[in-house]
Amino acid sequence: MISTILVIPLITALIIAISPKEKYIRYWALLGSSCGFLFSLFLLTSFNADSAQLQFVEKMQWIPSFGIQYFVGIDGISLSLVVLTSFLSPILILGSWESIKNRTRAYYLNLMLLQSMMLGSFVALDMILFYCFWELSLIPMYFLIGIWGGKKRIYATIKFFIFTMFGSVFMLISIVALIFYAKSQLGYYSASILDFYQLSIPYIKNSWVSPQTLMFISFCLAFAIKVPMFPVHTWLPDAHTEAPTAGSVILAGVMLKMGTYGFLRFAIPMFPDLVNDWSWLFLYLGVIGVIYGSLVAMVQTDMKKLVAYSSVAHMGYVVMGMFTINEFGLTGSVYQMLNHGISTGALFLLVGMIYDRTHNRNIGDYGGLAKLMPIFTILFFIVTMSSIAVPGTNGFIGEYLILMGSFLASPVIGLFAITGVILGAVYMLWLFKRVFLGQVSAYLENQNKEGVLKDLSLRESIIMFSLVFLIFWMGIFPNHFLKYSKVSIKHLTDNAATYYLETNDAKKVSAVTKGTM
Amino acid sequence: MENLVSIKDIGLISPLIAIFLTSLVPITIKVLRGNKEQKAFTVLVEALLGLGVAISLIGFQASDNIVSAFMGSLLFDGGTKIVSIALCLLAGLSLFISTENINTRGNKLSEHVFLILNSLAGMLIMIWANDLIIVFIGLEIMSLALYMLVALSHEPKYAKEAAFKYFILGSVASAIFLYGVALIFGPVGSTYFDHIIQFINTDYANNYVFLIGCFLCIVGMLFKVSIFPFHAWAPDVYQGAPTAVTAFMSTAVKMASFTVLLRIIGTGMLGEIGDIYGILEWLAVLSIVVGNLAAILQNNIKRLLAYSSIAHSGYLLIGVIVAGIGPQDNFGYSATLFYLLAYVVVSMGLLSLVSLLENTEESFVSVNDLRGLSRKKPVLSVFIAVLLLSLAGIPPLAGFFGKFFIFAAAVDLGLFWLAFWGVMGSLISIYYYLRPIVMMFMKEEEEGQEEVQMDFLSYLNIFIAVVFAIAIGIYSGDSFELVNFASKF
Repeated sequence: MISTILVIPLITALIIAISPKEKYIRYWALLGSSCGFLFSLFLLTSFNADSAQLQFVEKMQWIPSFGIQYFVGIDGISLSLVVLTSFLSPILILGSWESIKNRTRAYYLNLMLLQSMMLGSFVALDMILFYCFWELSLIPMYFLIGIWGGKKRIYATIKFFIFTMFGSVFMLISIVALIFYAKSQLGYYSASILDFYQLSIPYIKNSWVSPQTLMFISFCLAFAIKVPMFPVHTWLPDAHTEAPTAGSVILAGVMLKMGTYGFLRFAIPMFPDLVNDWSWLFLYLGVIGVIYGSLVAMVQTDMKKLVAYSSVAHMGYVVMGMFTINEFGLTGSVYQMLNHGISTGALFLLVGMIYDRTHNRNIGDYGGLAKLMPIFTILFFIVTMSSIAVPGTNGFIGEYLILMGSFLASPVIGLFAITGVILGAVYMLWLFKRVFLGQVSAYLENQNKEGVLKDLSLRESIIMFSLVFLIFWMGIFPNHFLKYSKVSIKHLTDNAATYYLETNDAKKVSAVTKGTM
Repeated sequence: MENLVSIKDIGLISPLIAIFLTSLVPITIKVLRGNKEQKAFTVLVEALLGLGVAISLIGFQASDNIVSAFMGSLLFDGGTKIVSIALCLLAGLSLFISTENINTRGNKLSEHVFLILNSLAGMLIMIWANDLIIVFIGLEIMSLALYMLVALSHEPKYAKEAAFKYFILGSVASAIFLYGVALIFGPVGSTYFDHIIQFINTDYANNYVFLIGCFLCIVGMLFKVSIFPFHAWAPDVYQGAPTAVTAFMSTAVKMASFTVLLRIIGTGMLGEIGDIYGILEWLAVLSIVVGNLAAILQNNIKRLLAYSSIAHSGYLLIGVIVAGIGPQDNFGYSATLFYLLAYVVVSMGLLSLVSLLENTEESFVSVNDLRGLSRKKPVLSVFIAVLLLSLAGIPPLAGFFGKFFIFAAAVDLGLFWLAFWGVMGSLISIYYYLRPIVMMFMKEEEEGQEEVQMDFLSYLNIFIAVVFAIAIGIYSGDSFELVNFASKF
């Protein structure tokens, strides 16, 4: 059943590839992605939120010699990301409706393939299958940035590709090693994460060469680059700045979540000893990401780059929340993943809309835009509020839960993280002031005379109003969204040291106690 | 006394006979017609018919047990069956390019076909051999035909240089191999693999003469598969040779030579001699690093592919080493075979592209000639991108699973550092495999580029390669089972 959600974009891609008339392609893409979204809503309604089990599971042999299967299914954590991905897809297609005029067929083809690959990595329960989707999702993104990007697009796209690849190849070796551990401990080859959870991987405290440490490092490197966490974040601003609007939205909205999801699904449950000993490092890296990202965002002159660095800061929160390993932090971090997808996605869309009009993102040239484009201004303000976590918007719930979790885990971290909230307000409000308030700048005056500064069209309003609607809905009724992931997260915090997952068709298998060194 | 040659033996080598007889057909007809070349298509059909007959004759060989012929000099098993069928197919595909490539078509095509088919016959002898001397005979038949094939190019300058380089270096390597055989013969008293294995199991006690002999034999083979530091000929020869011959060399020759290496090392005949494996491990790592780093600097596609093929030889050598050190039932042997299958098909496809881009006899196709290809030929560009990504090891294409199985086999034996350098190498390789893709999709066309022609057969080659790269990838489970099953015997 879950495969349907992977197949819908693929079928759409096929239709796009063979459809004879280039001008109807975007309609096909919109239709396909809407179908995908509707199907994800159907999954949402038929999902049993009271169970931490994996649901809608499908299993098929793939490479029996190594126990590799086509094994997919979702639990509460992946469900929310699946829905987020399929929700953003029609939004993106509407967002690039007018702005992509060059090679539309290839563009929508890439978007559809990318959607399928990203969904695949959220639902894959076999490590090799996950790795396939994970790597394969790079390629459409590589083309999106490289063909439809800005001036330095080729540099940005190769940097993006090689950075991400660098992280993941070492993960591949670890996966291979885990397969052989499964053989020696369970007696059969398997690449299923359900089996990996049961392995006890040798761990020597305070040593760099114990197998568990090396594997943890390789997994974390892959995910940290994708998130991106503080020292390995440098590809992100380049990729964001050069990518077309839809590319940025996908990157921020979904692709970065593949990293945090990786932590949550693989790194944290599989290596409990190391998470126990080293979670402080990730808390610190997270909080450094928050503060560093905010400070760098403050001094940007390019709007898109500013939003990109704000992304680094927001993802810092997510990582922080995750490594508190308590219910508040984890819930907040899953919630913040959704928030970030929606509000940062909305910010990128807004920046893209203004860029479509003026082809200029330099903050210094702007000023007083509020007088010229009032609806745009109001929407931008609401999204800004969501991004700086004002109560009543979705951002507040997520950051509040994360901060609560981090105070429980370590008050020092919590204290530092709070300054991040203030800094976030500083750069976003300052951006808002410089672009929208004050006198209308000479540059905008000129642009206005040329008649390019029209307020939002119906299409753009639909996109933005649906996002703004979600911002308030998620801010005011968080339980409508939290209830799906609640049980899964509780299951994770309750069994942090002996995590296990089971499919809803299998009988309960007793968890093997892990890593009692 | 038993008959030296039985009917059964003749039956087993009948593919060889078929290939040899076929190789004579075009050239005889040419002589009978007063040295006038037949139509290219006719020559191709004649050759393909012969190959078809050979493949179906190979098909009759048993695939689930080991059969020996000529008093144990030749050995036929599941592994050789797969490889020999693959070799025949590769020869056929490279003939597709030959009939269309500017440097081989027209004049002297019959001679070209004759040499390709004889080279193929040499390869078959080589992979079936169960005796070092027979290996040497096969090796020489294969190589001599190749030297001439390189020299036969219509391009006047570089091809001759390449042929000479290849000939001189290749002869030295053959001599080294033969010297090794002689040194092995000394202590063992025989060159049969069975006797050598027996010798290792009973009398071997750090016999240095024997050790040096083994080492020289392996060096001779490493030259053929262009492992560092015996790789220097590869870029020049790949570049100078006509593209069809380059395609033949980088696929069939590589496959045959690695199969022999697997025979020599992989069946455990050097099981006791640990030091050689230490050296081989270093050579594998160095090949990966040197090949990949040098490929970054290349602009000429054939040179780029040459260096990348050095790197791929490095990956393959990892598999060979694993097959050698590991216990009998490890994955090394089948992983190497799988990687070979995944690699050769893709390599054939990419060289067909080079052939499509060659407009004059002196053309040297560079990466820049691909600029803006996706505007003119979107489907072709997507095909090429798939092939390049398969070589780079992006899942779920064939190249990825090739690497995955090799690294898995290495990790299984605890050879993490080989797997480490393997993935480092494939990381470096991403950069230069992405460059043609950047050119095709992200740059615009410029003046003075090579025009892409739409020769049907070369295009068909690319299509076949793409289908294989995707199919072997998606059905990697089944295809690996197939190879794994075959290599058990």
